[in-house]
Amino acid sequence: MSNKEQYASVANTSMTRTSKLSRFFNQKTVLVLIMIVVAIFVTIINQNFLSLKNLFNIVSAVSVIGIATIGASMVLITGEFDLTLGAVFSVTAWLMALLTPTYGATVGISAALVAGLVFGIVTGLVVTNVKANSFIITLALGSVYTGIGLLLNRGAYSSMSGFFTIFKEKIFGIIPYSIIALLVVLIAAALVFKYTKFGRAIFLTGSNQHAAYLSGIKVKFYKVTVFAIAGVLYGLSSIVLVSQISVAMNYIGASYTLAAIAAAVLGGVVLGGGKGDVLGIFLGVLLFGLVSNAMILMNIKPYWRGIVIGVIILIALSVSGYLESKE
Amino acid sequence: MDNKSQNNVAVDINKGRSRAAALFRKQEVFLAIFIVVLGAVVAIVNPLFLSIQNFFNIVLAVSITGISTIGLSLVLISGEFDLTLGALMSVQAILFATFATKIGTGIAIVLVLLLGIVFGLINGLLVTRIKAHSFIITLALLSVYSGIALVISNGEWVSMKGIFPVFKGKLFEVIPNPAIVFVIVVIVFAIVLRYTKFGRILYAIGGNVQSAYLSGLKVKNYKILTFTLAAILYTIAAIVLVSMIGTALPTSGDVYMLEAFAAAVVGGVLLGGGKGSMLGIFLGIIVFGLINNALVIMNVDPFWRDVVVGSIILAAVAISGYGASRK
Repeated sequence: MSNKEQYASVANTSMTRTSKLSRFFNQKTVLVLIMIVVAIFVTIINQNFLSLKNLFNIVSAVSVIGIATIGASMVLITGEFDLTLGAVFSVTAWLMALLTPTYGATVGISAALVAGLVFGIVTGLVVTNVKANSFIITLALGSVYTGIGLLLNRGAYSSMSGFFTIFKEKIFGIIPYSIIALLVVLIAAALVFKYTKFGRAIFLTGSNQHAAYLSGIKVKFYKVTVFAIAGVLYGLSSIVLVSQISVAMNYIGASYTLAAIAAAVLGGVVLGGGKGDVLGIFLGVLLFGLVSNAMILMNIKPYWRGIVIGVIILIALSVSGYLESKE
Repeated sequence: MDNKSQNNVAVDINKGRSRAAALFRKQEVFLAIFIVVLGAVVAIVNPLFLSIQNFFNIVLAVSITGISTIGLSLVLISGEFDLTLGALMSVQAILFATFATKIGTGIAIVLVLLLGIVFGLINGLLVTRIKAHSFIITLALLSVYSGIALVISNGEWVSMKGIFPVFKGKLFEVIPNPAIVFVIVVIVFAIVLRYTKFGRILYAIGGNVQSAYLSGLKVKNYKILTFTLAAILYTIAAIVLVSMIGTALPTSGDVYMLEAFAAAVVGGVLLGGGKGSMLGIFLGIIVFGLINNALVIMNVDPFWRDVVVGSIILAAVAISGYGASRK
């Protein structure tokens, strides 16, 4: 590759950097506007919406998917897909609920996190070494992990009722611990994205893999690390869920796979990589929670939820796409 | 547009096709060898495998996945994703069962096919108008269609009450009727992909959308047409499914989405577009039917299914990726 091309690709990267800033502003503004509209609308019908308790409920309800979405987003930012989320989540949740009653919560939590880590490393190694789209590789791996879970538990659920109920509880009876878990993950991710070499490396890898490689970034290593961290975060989110509901069964995480990708993209993460930030991801996840909560308070049948969420995603994408093209 | 650029594009398309053809031959040969070897092993373990009855069982079992996979493959070849497959099948299954029991099967078939065209047009219009990845647009639409299926059915299943059992039947008491529909769809789209202008244009758009556009092709219109054809095929699959099992669930089609992706990619369809032949797709579909059948007939623990299926998808994409990189 000639020097000229190299310069061109570097120039390209910095160009996407600058347009990135304005784009994020737009996408997040759209999300906030939608939330304000929904909030005003719901408050008129049911004043309970604006109570502190309900606002905490909304954030608490999205803590599980929020933690998982940070993991999924990191993978998306490096330019890959991860469809193993649901399968990893299901296995780690099952392990947690199985081990905790006998060996204690420490063992249960460790097992779930280690299992998430191992699955993540395996996924990363396969994705970086097989020449195929990560969509199909992680689809296949998701099937393998689901199968491993089934072979281990023979289709049976596990229960740990009475053990490790911390994420059901609230600090001073007000702030749910699940929110604390979510905030810790969000803040840690924001710091890593912004201030570490690792953060810069994954954004550069996602926005221009070739340039990243040429500038000496160990692309494969970073990708494997990102999948590994994502696996740990799926494990962590499953721990929060199991602590709340006390049981775990197969396919318990299945619905989170596509929901996490939808929330991430709603929050400004771009499929293809290189773009996304924690505030946007949080807003994307929060919008999901807000809509579900609003529908309950407004007494709308839950069947409408999918339609409302789908239409909101389409509106947000149309508006931000339109704003971007106007620039 | 002048003659010269037209010629260039024609050369481009031809080059793309001959290169593709060489690769496909590999994928198809690999699949054929795999099918023969697996068939031989299973036949040794259980000679019943080679009976005509079992052969038709395999084709019957993949008919519905097969019809919808062909629809999805058209969209994938054009370079887009379509995640609406399962949800659209669910809506159409519910609508078909509802219409059929209320106003008769003849009108019901016409109505759901017309609605299939409408849904397909909506998918195509949104994907070509909104500036975002078709993965996320069709994911939002998946959410909308799932919601519609739930709202219409009120979350309950709809019984056909014994009417329209035609796809439970067999032609001459031997060939299952769904298999006939599947084979007809295979033949029709084998011809469409290989011998029609539309087929060639589809590969051109998926192979290099820029050059297709520059050569004067109405890329957007062709993409809309592709999504519409896909939606019609999902609708046909839904009608056959409902007739076969006699009831429609608001989630009837959901399981087919990822299966169809896996079958298409194993068959040699490239995510990203421009590549995939009907023979490959057909063999990809048959591989899945064969594996499921082999597991049953060899009396393998059903909990192994997911691991085996996932591993085989991985092996197939790894081998074809390896073949591509060697060229």
